[in-house]
Amino acid sequence: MIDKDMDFNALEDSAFRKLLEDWLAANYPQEWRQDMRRPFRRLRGDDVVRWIGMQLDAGLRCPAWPKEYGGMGLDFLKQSVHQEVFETYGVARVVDLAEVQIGPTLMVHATAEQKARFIPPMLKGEHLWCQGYSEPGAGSDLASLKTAAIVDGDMLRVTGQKIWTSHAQEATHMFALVRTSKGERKQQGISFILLEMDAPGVTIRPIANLAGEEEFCEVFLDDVKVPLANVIGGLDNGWTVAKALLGHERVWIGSPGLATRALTLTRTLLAARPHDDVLFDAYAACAADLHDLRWLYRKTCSAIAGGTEPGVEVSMLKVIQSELLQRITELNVELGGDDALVDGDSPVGDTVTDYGWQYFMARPGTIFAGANEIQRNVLAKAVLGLGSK
Amino acid sequence: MTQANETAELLSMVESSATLFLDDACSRAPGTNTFAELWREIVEMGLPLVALPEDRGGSGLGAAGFTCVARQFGRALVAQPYIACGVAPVAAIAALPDGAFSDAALALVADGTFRLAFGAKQSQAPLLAGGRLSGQWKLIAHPATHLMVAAGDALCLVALDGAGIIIEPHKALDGGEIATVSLTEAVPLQVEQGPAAARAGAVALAASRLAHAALLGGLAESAFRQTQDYIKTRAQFGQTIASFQSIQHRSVDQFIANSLTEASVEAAATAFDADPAAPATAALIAAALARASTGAAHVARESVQMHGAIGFTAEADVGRYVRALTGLANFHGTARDNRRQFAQFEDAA
Ligand SMILES: Cc1cc2nc3c(=O)[nH]c(=O)nc-3n(C[C@H](O)[C@H](O)[C@H](O)COP(=O)(O)OP(=O)(O)OC[C@H]3O[C@@H](n4cnc5c(N)ncnc54)[C@H](O)[C@@H]3O)c2cc1C
Repeated sequence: MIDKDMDFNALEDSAFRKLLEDWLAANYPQEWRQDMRRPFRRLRGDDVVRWIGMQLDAGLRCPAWPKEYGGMGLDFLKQSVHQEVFETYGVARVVDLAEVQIGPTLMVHATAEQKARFIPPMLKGEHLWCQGYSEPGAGSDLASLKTAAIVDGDMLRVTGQKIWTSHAQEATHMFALVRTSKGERKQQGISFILLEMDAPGVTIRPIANLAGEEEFCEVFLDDVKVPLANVIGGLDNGWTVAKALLGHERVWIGSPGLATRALTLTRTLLAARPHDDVLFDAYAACAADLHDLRWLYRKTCSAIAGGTEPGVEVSMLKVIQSELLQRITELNVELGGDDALVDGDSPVGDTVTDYGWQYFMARPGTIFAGANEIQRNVLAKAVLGLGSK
Repeated sequence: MTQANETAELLSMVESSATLFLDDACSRAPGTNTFAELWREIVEMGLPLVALPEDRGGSGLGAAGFTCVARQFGRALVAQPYIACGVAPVAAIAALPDGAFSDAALALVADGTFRLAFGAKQSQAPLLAGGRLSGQWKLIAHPATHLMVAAGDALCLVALDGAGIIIEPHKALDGGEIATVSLTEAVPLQVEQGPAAARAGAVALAASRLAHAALLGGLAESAFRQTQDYIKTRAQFGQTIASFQSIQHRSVDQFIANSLTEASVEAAATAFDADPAAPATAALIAAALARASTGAAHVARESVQMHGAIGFTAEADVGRYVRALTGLANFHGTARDNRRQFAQFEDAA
């Protein structure tokens, strides 16, 4: 058992590492671990709830959250140790927007009443959250969103459509950006609201992704009533709230964890066949790239741990990791050769893999959380000072 | 009219009728036709026989004909075994002298109620002994009624409803199905043995490889066109995505890749018609395949990216192409393998 009042930050890194490793070894379900078949496995539905409960019971819920909100209160450096241990162990990913997005946002922008209403249930996994930002006409250009909310007494009446909402079919709540007035700039007049997925007027239609899994959804909002008390950060102030939301997520998203998994598969595939210098070269190129990413990532993390707030340039990490991941999964498809035609599992040595799956699941990393083209535009302008504006 | 003009005209007729037919097949509601019904229509159109000389019932268009049609199958993404049940067995038939074996094979290819699949991928070495054939072939077009496979210097025709045959089907990323077929002392319908049979088996494989490069080219071309259409209509930040320079440059790169594939496939097809079994032909086919698989990976990657999230859906048309391109890019060897084969030949020449 882990002592719930423990000050994790006071532990030596190695002691903290061991504590987490021991706990995982004793508690983590084997069938959830990432493997050659599902190197980027994600938990869904009941498994997510169970996983949140396991962490909660062990005092390991929400590493980055302050203790006053029920989190582990880890400093940045310990957070990176935590992340590394979990990734190395092959802990499955979860889309836990409570932990990484809406929780931290509420801590900064919500009233005491709102915090009391929403934070405890999300901590316990009673509420599962999804993000309703994108719309059919508003992707990279998010501020052009059109879903409209009209004030009616102490209610907002919301009508419009969201799309690409990950795991909406499993969520109980959505945080969404909606238009509450027309400003001079399109970023003005947007509000950040919280709504319940079972409210009348909410319709969810899952969309199958390239790998055939229903991961994201269309969400139709037809005159959905949302209390004004669920507006975060004040009416028409949603853009500021949403922008602040990213925070350290911009760093974590550049983690070399997924690419490390993918390259482990590459190594397994190479080991299952006779040595070939040319293929080894292709692997070596990826391995060296991963090594360099890892050190740039560590360097960034230590700078932040040392008190330097990350600047725009950290989005480099996301660009590097998402593109490297794609290159590695493409190499894995190549190593599959003709077997990659099979839609499903193919044998590799004494295990199996699914060449298509790992390739498809590596595609969105360059599209979401600011497509790489947009990241490059921002880097060119804000870091290199290129361009007219 | 000169012979060359006539051939060119016939080729363009075959191309447009194949295009019309395949577009129509694509536009039919799902479930309108069974797999077998659609194959029968393909045979009735005469598409499998385009390469065969006219005196044997074909259109006499050679490799120019089958690469043109295979490209259209890729472009329309109709998951039917045109190469495995059309191009490859017909190439073997064309390479064999008239006789019982080629008559039997031709009868099967020309009758749309059958599907004679060429086995290009041995997964267990075949053994032909005492008139019985054993072995395992993977990634066989499914459902097939008959199999044509090479075993040593023999070519065998096997009916797949006989004894000693196990068929394990799998779904394929191109939307079709493939099977692993295991034979244990199965009795072939026909066996042809000797140097001519060995050569015909090799020619069938060469034709499969060449047609596959054409198919990949068609898939990539179509995914590219769809993406071009999309970026010209999708607007963000008050302008079409096509107006952004990085998107324009990357579009041109794909256009270049597709043009190179087309040229390389044409060169290999010309060589195939001159001598399908020549080492130089094999080298040109390897070059075309290398180019086509590189292009396939390139275009698949860019198609998803330029579409944004909608490119990551199974229901978007482009998603079907991306799945097919991914599954088929390395079907006849990786670009690295094929480039090496090409360069080794160039080097020795
Ligand atoms: C798996 C997945 C999960 C997602 N989950 C969610 C979710 O839970 N909630 C949510 O709200 N959204 C979600 N999204 C949506 C995501 O935020 C959008 O996909 C993203 O904002 C891009 O928008 P878009 O897909 O409309 O692409 P578009 O903006 O239409 O872009 C298409 C292409 O054009 C390029 N492009 C656009 N503008 C420029 C420019 N100025 N210069 C150069 N190139 C440009 C893009 O980079 C891209 O390659 C998810 C997306 C995916 C793929």
